[in-house]
Amino acid sequence: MSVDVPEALLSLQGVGVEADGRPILDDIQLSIMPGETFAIFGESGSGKSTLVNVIADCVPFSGSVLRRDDLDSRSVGISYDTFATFPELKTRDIVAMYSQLRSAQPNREMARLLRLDEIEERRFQVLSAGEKKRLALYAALFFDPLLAVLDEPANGLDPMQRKAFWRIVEERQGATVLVTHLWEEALRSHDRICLLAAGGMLGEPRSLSDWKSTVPHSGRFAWARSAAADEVEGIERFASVAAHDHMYLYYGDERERDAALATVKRNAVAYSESQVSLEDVYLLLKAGLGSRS
Amino acid sequence: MNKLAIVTRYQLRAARAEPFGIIFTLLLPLFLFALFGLIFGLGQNRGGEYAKFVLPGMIGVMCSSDALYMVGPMIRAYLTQGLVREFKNLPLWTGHLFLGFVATRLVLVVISMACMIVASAAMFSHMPAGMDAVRMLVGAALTFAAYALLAVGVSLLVNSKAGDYGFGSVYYFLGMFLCNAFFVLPDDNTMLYAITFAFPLKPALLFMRGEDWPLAVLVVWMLASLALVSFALRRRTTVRGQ
Repeated sequence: MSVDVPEALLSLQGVGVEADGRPILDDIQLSIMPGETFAIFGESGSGKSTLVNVIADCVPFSGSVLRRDDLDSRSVGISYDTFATFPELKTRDIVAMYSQLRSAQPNREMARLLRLDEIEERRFQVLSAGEKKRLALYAALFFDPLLAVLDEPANGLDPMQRKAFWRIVEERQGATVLVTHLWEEALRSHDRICLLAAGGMLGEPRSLSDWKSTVPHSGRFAWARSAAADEVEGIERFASVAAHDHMYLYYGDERERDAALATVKRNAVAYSESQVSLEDVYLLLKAGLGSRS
Repeated sequence: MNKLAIVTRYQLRAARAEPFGIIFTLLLPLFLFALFGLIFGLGQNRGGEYAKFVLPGMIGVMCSSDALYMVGPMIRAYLTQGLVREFKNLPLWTGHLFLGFVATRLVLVVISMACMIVASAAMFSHMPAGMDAVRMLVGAALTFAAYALLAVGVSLLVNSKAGDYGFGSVYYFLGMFLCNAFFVLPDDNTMLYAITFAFPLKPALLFMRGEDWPLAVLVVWMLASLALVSFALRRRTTVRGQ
C-alpha cells in the first residue's frame, strides 16, 4: 500500500491505546520531522510513556503509525524511563555489546561526556539511577540515530551531567523526541512542543512562542480567599494552580483585562501582570479555558 | 558476528558472574553424584553398577532443577523488567534473547554432564558409550526442554518470584524422590507408579535407561507445556511501562 507521507520521519494518525477498558491515549496526531527537536510534555499519568511504547511498537494501539522507509530499528534509538539489560554485566561489556549488536563503532567522545569511563568496571546491578540513565542515553544515542526517543532523559542526572546531555542533543543531526514532565526540559526544546493531558493532546504541537500566543496576556494575584472566592470563580478566563493563595487570570485583550480586574481588585491582596509561561498555557488548556486551535 | 552468538556470549558472561548459579548447576550435581555413588555403590563392582543407574538420574535431576529454578524465573524477569522491550529496539530478532539464554543454560548443562561422566569413569569405572551416550544426550535435552517450558508457563501465570520458587521446589523435590532418580521405588503400587508420570523426569529417565516408549510420553509433556506457555502469554494483559 502506498502511503502519502510528506517528509516526516514518523507520523501518528488517530492513535489510541486502551488498558483494562480505560483509554490511556486518545486520538494522537503528530509528525516528527527530520532533524527537529520535539518535546512531549505532560504531567504524570498523561500517557507519555505509553506514547513512547506506541512509537517503539511495544503496545497494541488503534490508528496508524507511519514510518519513513529508512526508519527502522537500525536507525532509531529509544531510551525508556528505566533501562534494562543483563544486570551482571559490567558497563564496559554493555557498551561493547551494544556496539556489536548495532554494528557500530563505540562513540568514545559521547562516553567521555557521559562519564562512562568512570563506571566501566562496575556491574549494572550496582549502578545508581543516574549512572544507569547515563548508560541508557549512551545506548540510545551513540550510533547517531535518525530518530532518538528519550523518555524522561534527565531523571537522575546531576546539573553537570544534564549540561553534557543537552550538549549531545544540541549537536545531533537526527531528530530527537524528548518526553518529559519537567517544564525546564520541555523549554529546552528548540522546535516544537506537544502538550499531553489525560491521554489527549492539548492542541497541535507548536513552538514555545506559538503556544504563548494562544494566551496573549495573563496576570497573577493573591487574594483574601473567603472574601473573593465566589467572585473569582465567576470569571470566565480563570485558572488556578495548586498553591492556595496564588491564582492566575488570563485574558485575550485589554477590555477583558479591565473587566476581570474590576471583579478581583476589590479583594485582591496583590496583583501583577506577567509574561505567560508554558506552565500557564498548559494549566489553562487543561482546564478547558484556552483556545486549542 | 552472528547476532545470536553475540547475545549468547554476553549472557554466558553474565552467567559466569553469578557464582551461586555456577555452583548450583556445575558443582552441586557433581558433588551429589560422587557422594551417592560412594555411599550407595559400595561393594558393587567399585560402584559401577550403581553409577550406571544414578548417572542418568543425576543428569535428569540437574536438567530439571536448572530449568525450574533458572529458566522460568529468568524468562519472566526478561518480560516484566523491560529487557524484551529493550531488545525489541535493537536490529535483531527478539527471540535471540530467549534462544541465547537457553543456549547459555545448555552450555552449562553440557559442561555439568561432561564433568559427571568424567567423574563416573574416574571413580566408578563406568563410561557411557555408543547408544547409551546418545540416549543420555537426547534425554537430557528433552528433560530440559519440557521442564523449561513448564517453568516458563507457570512463571508467567503465577507472576511472582515467591510463587515461582514455591512451585519449583515442590515439583522438583517430589520428582526427584518419586521418579527413581537415585534409588528404585517398588513399582507394585499402580497408583504411585501412575503419579510418577506427572513429572517429565520419569519418562526421561526410563528413556535414558534404555526404554523407547517413554519418548512418546515426553513428547506429550512437551506439547502440553508448550500449550501452557501459549495460554500464559495470551493471558498476560498489557502492563503499562513495559
